[in-house]
Amino acid sequence: VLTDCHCYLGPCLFGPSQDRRSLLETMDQCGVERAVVIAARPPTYRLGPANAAVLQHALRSRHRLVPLVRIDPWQGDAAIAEARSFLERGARALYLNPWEESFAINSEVVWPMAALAERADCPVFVSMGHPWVAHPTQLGDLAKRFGRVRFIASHGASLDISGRGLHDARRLLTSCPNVWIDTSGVYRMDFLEGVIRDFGARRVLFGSGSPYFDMQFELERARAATSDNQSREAVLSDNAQTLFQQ
Amino acid sequence: MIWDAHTHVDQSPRAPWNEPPEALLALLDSAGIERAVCMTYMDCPIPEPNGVRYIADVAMRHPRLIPFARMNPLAGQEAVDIFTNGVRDLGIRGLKLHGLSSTHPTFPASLELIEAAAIAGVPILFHSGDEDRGLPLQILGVCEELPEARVILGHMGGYFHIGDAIRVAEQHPRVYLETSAMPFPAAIREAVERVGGARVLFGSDGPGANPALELTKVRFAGLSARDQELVLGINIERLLSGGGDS
Repeated sequence: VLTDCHCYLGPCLFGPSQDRRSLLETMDQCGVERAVVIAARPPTYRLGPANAAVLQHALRSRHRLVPLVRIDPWQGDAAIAEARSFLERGARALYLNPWEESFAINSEVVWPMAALAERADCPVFVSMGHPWVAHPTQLGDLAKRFGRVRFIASHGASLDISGRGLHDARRLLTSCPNVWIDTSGVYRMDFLEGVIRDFGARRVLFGSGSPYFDMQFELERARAATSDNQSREAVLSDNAQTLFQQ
Repeated sequence: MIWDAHTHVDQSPRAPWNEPPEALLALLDSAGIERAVCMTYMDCPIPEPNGVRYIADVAMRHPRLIPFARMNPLAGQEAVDIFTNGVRDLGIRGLKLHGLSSTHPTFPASLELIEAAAIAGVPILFHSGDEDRGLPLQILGVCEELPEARVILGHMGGYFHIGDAIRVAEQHPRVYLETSAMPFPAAIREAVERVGGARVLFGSDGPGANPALELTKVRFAGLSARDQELVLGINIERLLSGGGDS
């Protein structure tokens, strides 16, 4: 089951948006059978209704859309309650966006969210690529503190056009076996190839970051990351199924 | 005819990536790329005193590769001398500057090197992206100080500064946008629409990035056949032959 582990749904405060219909159309064009979906940052600033809409879209999608619950750690107990509620209703993981919700991924406000993920035995998907709040070393700090929580780091854990941040991303993968990466926007193919070679294909998931990133091109990137059929199957399908228990 | 405006070779023990020319050439072959601008990862003469001679030797052995000298302006007059001698005696066809490994693009030492390149009639390829000393609006200062310089914005602003890169090119007719590494096919189309097909250059940043995949990105941009021809080779060929000014 070709699975894109990183897509956004709903109106977005910051730009590109897609609704369920346009996402499913894009998936069909690309041959993507299933997508993990996250509420885009809503123009209303209210994550609750956006999460509810994502859950409804997923329930109507005949298992093609797998919902996550997006929470703002600054909301404290309210965020915990919301996460619990959505996990009970079918959300498969927590989603944290340190840039758009303005927190450092290793800050103390995040710890109760990670503790919840540990108790609920669900993964935490983290939007990476903004070094001030989500540097690979910061995620490493959190991932070591919560060693039983599985963290999925978008963008290879680092969006860095000079390629130097990828060194820290590799160190993250070395020191934290509970961290996975997705492929969205990772320009250095030797990084993805090296991660698959040195850490195993099970640590890498195809994710597009659609609609901000181009799903078709990102799928080409994920396919190009390995020529081994078994590894490719893991990246494009198996790992997402395992992590999100589809 | 496809020409790649941005590739690397480097075998210095100091280099972050060891890339012999054979690795690059194999990737160029598989992508159907005829010729490529290439440069080292390390600056010359600090920390790599033999960088210019190395890249000239590589191009001598592999005439498909067009050598640009990656220089460190902090070496002052020594850098200017090595560069101008390289153009005159060793077949160097352009200057590469990377602010992260050297200094600010508008510091006096940088401007002296850039002026030497402009006098020699060769283009200057800047790493442009999301980091200080490589921001497009910092490189804009170069265009203001030395409007005769023909400037290529490598990576056309990276992940988060593409809008700035396009605005710089809109303001200065001798600025070119180079497509490597940044992950957005739609941004290539936008660049062509706003500055014209004659000032957008295909680059791959291979072999770290995959030239075939980077080529796919341009093909996904939905350009007209004529604009695609320009972007994929005609523009860089014209620029290297001293033409190309709008």
